[in-house]
Amino acid sequence: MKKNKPTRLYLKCMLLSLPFIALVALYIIKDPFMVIRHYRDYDHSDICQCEGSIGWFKYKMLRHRMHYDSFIMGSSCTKAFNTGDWNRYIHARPYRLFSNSEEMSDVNVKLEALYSQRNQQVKNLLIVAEKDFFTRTEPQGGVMHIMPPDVSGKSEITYQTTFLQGFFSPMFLWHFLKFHVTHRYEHCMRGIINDDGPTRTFYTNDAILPNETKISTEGEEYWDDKSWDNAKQHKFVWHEAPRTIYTAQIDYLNKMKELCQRHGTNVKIAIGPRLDKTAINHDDVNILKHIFGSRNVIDFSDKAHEKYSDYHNFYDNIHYRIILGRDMMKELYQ
Amino acid sequence: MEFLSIPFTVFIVITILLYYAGKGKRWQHGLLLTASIIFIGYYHLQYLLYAIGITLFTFYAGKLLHKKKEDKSASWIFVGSLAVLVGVWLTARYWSPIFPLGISFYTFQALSYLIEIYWDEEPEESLLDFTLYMMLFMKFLSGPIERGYELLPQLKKAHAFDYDKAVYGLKLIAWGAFLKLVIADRIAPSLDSVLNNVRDATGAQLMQATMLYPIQLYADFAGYTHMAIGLGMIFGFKLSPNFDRPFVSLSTGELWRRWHQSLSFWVRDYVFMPLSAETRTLGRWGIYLSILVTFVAIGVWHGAGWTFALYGVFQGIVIIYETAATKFRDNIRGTFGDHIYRPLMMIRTYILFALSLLFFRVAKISDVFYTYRHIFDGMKTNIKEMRLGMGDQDWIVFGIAVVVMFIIEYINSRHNLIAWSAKCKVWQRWTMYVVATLLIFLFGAFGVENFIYIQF
Repeated sequence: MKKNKPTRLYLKCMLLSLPFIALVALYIIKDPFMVIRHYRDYDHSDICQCEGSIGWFKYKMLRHRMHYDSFIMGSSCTKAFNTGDWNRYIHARPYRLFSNSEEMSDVNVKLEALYSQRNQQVKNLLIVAEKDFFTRTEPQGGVMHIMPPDVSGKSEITYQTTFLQGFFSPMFLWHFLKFHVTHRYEHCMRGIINDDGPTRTFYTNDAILPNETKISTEGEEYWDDKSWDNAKQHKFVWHEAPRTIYTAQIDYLNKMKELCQRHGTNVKIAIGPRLDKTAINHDDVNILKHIFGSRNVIDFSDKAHEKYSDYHNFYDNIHYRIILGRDMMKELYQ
Repeated sequence: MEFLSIPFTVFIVITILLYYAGKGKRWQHGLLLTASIIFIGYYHLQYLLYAIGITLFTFYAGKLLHKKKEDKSASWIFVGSLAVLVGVWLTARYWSPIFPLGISFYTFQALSYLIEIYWDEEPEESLLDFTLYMMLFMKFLSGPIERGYELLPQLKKAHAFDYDKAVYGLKLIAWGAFLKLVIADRIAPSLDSVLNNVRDATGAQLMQATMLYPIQLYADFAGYTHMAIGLGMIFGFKLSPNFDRPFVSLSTGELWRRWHQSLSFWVRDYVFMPLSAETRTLGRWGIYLSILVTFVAIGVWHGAGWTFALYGVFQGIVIIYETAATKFRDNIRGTFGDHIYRPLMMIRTYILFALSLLFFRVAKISDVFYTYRHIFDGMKTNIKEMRLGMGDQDWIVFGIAVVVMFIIEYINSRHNLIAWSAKCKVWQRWTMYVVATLLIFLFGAFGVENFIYIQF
């Protein structure tokens, strides 16, 4: 009879849940992704964050003071595009609203959210794209991509449980606990723990570029690492990637264009070069030019810009330097 | 509210606590009915109104049918009642702006209830018990389709807490969550990206999506069913099984005895058997006709549109062929032996099922035939495109999870693993519980769309 009391089951379920409850409590107290509570300073975190969410929180915190009206969007390659440099061409109040591995569907969702903000103008939009930027027509999820509920339309519960699940992933949790116990950064924690100090400026969310300082100090030695060998030995051959823009993507881009036109937004798209000289498919570029206007889309990965793929223009095998970003903006806005 | 959501978790915990806190059948059934009303109404009030309407209609139609059973009007009442139920279902499917969730499932329950009364079963006297039979929340959305004579007797008594059954139910729920979250939801976005836009995909991508879709569908639906049955066990109910390792089937006929069993057995008992009795004078052609009509009915049950009807036709034609070619297949078996015959037939059955499911999944018939024509194109496709937008880690997790699913199901067919686990030592059981919970939480693709069968 004793065995058939439900209390025994309830207690066992609670016992099974205890380690998880303890970790959930730790997560709530530490708030490593800075999404549970609001903060004055988002830029000095030990943890690599969801840049989209953080950028949005900062925007909302500062927008009434700064009156932003122009936005740089795209992936982390936006680090090459400084709002100060951009402002020479647009004479506005720019802000870098980027996200990790952002794609067009993520940009569109953010745009819609911006337009829905009271008294928010979007005079200028600079989209920093890559060859795979135009593939998805649904916003990305997951801990590094999900946007806050007032952008994504998802519930607060979905938003928070995404980060909670990210916290529990072995890759994150192990390194997080190890770092907080030992207070020592190890190379294997790269991508989880941020050892670079602040990575963005406060008001404009521009990238802080410690690698640029390193290049100034080290010069050519910066590219001495083995990972640069292929580039230095000219082993990369210029070639085009397969086409990615088809019917679904065309419909989506047309809707984006209409949205921007309706709100009087001046759109420019810069398709960045790659160290491995992989160019976006020319069919994709033609479609983009047809939709957004040939003067508003420049493919910097094409054969004519092959010189941009020189390794001296890159911090790593993905991110090009701010000096290249300046050249790209000059060509885009001339 | 979906099973795998925080609102449902809160809902079910409160319901279980209250269910066993009170005493007696009235308390338990009143609570279950309230919980079911909240569950159904949470989606949309209209779904609740449909369900209540059909429940009341069926209950009183059944009473009238039984009262008039010796009368000449009995058959008119019977046909009229069935016509009303089918009419409401068709109206909801084709003309209603909102398609009430679960209507296909509880309508079939209502139909079977009335048919059984016409065939001399006694009607249910208690409206409360009958309402629970129709609207019990754990099976409301996607079945199993329960027969009155199986579920109604279980509603005649209060259910004392049974620790072993409750634990068994929790383990089933965990297994269902694993199938749904780690397998189905992980692969769903990638397959959707291909199957929603077949003309933009390469042949290799079409092949990949076509061959993987049955696994996604199975993991999704079987996952839901396990959770529904597990929840039923916690409350003391025994719900019908719905799947029995369908991918080991050696023929399409066998597959339909193992796949969505509550539907296929329903259609066998209430469509195929009466129809084949009526057409017995036609000999084997009568059987073939009955098979075709039965499977068209299964197809049409799944959805409005020619694609679903063709899905049924496809299945029917294959089964007719298998029925007609039994001798031929036996000869092959005799020639090559079971070691070759069985794997070949499993693969053949799987491939045919996968090809037929394109009618189920793809929106247009022209797109289905486009897929058939282009499925072997572009075999030199770049490996990156074969990823279908999924990362390497996701593919590894998916692959391992599918293999684990097949292995566990195979072992479970020989030794009931859940019952076996109950006999393990405490530390072994708790290790399994912790590992299972961690696996689901770490590798589950949370936040992906609804169960596939929720749309029926």
